[in-house]
Amino acid sequence: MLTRYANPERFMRLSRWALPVTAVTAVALFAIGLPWGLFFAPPDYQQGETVRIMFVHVPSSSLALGVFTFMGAASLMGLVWGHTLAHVAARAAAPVGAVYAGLSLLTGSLWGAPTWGTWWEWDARLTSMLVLFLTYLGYLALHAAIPERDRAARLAAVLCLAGLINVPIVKFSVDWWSTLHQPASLLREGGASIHPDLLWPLLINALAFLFAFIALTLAGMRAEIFQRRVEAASMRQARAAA
Amino acid sequence: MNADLADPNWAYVWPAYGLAAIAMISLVAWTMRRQSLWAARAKRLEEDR
Repeated sequence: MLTRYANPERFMRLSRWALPVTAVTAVALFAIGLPWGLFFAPPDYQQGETVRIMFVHVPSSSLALGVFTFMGAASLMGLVWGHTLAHVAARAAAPVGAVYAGLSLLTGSLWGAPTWGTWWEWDARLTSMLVLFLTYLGYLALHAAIPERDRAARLAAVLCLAGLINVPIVKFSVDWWSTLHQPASLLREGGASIHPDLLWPLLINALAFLFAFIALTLAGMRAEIFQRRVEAASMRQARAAA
Repeated sequence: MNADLADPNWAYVWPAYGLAAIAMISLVAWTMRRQSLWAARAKRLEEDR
């Protein structure tokens, strides 16, 4: 089935309608989730009003990990089966993941200042998330530094697969080490430990971030495919002229 | 509405949402601009052929 969708022509036909559908869904979910979290969800009994930062921080953090895992799977497919579209997908997802990881660090810092009394701590969760953010930047820098697209894609895929080792470290750092960051409260054994009044807006915002990622990745992939077509045509023209 | 806008902790909440809005809007604008730019170039090439 994956091979069927690895065809760029088929992808362009599919993404033509999937892109507006996912983009509109993301906007609708943000329009519900953000005001709900910002104004209508109750304040937390311990964190007070600062709990509202969680509606941006938790989805961006989870998706930063999810996007990197997606990039790892795409990179593996690109390396093993040589599907160009898989490399294109990984490359298109990277800026979205980088922004999510950056947002996670910044909003986490804004939450930490009033809650922990510090903007930053070299804590296992915070440090491993910073490493993930830097890996995203390294991946993008590697793509930008190598002009030959296929070589850049292969090398970046290797970097991505090596960077995957950090994903479980970020996720389980709060269980493996004694950290300032609290343990998981959403994806944990025994179910979520958050009151439904806070859980629902959180889930809606998480879905909004997810659909935004899908829409932005589809748009990025379309841009990359158009760019490859233009470059291939320009090379053909140059060769014909010579 | 359940929010107490007079609470001093809003000094941390507003920047978090502001940063998120700026980051997401910039990302959307950059991606869409890139896509429309290359789509237009590809279309022009197709027409030239």
